[in-house]
Amino acid sequence: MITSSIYTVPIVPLQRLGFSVWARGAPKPYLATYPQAAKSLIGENAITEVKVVGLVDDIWPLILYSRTDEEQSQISQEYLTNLPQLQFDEVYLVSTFVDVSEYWEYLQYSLKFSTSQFLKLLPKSKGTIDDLRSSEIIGFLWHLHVIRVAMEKFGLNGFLAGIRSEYFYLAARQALPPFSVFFLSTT
Amino acid sequence: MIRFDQKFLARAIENWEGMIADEIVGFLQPKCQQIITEERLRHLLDQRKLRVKFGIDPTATDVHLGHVVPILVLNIFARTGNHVDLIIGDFTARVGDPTERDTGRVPLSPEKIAENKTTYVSQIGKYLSVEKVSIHHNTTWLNPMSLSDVFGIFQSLNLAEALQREDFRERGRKGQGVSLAEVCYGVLMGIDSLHLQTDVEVGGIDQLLNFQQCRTIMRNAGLEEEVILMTPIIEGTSGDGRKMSKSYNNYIAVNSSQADKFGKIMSIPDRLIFQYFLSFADVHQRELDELRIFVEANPFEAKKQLATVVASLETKNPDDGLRERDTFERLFSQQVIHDDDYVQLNVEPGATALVALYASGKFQSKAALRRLFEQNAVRSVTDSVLIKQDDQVPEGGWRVRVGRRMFFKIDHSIL
Repeated sequence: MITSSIYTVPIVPLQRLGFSVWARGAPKPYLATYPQAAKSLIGENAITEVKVVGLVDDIWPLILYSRTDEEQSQISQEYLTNLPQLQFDEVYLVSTFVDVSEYWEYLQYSLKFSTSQFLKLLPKSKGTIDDLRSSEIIGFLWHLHVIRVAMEKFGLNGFLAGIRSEYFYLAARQALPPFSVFFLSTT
Repeated sequence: MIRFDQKFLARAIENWEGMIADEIVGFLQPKCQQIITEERLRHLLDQRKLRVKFGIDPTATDVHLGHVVPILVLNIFARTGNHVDLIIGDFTARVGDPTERDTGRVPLSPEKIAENKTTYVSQIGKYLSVEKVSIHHNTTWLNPMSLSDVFGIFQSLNLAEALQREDFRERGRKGQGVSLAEVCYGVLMGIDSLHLQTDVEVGGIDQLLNFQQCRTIMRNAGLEEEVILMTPIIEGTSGDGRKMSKSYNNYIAVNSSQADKFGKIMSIPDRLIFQYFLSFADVHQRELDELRIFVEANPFEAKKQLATVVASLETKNPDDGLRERDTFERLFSQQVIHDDDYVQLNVEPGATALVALYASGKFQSKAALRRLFEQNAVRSVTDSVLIKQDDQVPEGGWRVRVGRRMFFKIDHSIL
């Protein structure tokens, strides 16, 4: 269920909501809760239609876990197959719509965030700052870039996200064009 | 009287190819606030010709003598046969300059970067033979890097170390934010060093922690850490403790005239003379005590010698500085003004002093000129009578002195 939401105004009748997920392992059944929750928005605030767009990041796990293209491709394929069955209306692999070579574009976001803001974004599960590597910064900037490009390419006007990603999306709203965001608790 | 100016100026045109390591370090050391490490530098200079890196910020177009200090260090390396790599930080500029001075700066277009580079290089080229150095644009190697390459380098660095640097903490204590871009900046500099296999990096002491990050990145990549030479942040001419900066109006512009450079050096407080000598002249370590004693015992003479060195810095011709010294002594010590000291102005009858002087183009703005009137800095040369801004130029013309160094001969235009 949606635990909190932030709307951009005016609220448009057609909501195209992105849901970003890393293809790090096989897709889990709980992902179905996102389209379900999204469809529950129909009828509220003059919303007449909701489309859920799955954004499967097959680039970051490839790098983070040093996988081969083949290994990553097998996992990514499972998302392409399974997410439509879980009621996602559209599904795209990040590698198909983000130009990885234009990395300077995402470094630009680094000007918009302070180090103290960034530290607040780090999930507690990752341990203390002493345990972390500077690549966390690149991960953060990359993820911002992905949702920015997805907004443009797929006409997204909002996102669905787990409540643990709340800080990330609040930060993203500071750097990116306006978008709505709906947070779910899946536990 | 010891003539340090003549000694240092003669040195500027000596052939230093083949100079031994100890001697090179002897000239480098006085110009640096810190070298990490001097032993390693000496060892490397003993072994081979070195690759020396200096990063240029293509957002800066007006170069002043504060910027020239590290350039003079580079010049020592170049003159002694080492290889200098100038890095135009066009990649960083495109992302947006992250330095604490300009966190809100708008990223520059490639055309603007190219234009700034040309202006910048032409100015520093007065102090360093740019034809002997390699000029690189860091987009050349940073652009083609993949996300995976960038990730790998950031992954090699501890996050706590990158975010909790002492200078960042200090700014946090002052309530100033540190952007993530500043953290990324040091890493990008490190990638420059990796690419060029840099032996030595030169820069201001404010770059210390970025340089240390470069060293860490090189070590993590299995390379020898670069040696770093850091020059002091030069204090401005007003001597109020603030760094030389256009914003504080306490700078000496590279593009200013020799007379202006000479005059501005003569205006610095005595306590800056010694440091300026170290920064702008080729002083050897072994001469430090003698120079210090001379400066303390003869500050006025020392300042004139320093001004002579600075006025000749660009042309390396001692006659230029000595000519400015002669002019200075004639105007200020002997109070003798020659006809060619005056700027001739011809104005319409009825023109006021403000209009006439502003038409000379010698003043930044009318407001700046008005301030000089308000400060009683505009006087008639002939009788020293104060001239007000609304006074009309008399029929017989005027000989006017503005401040200490500017002289105008104002006449009515012949119709």
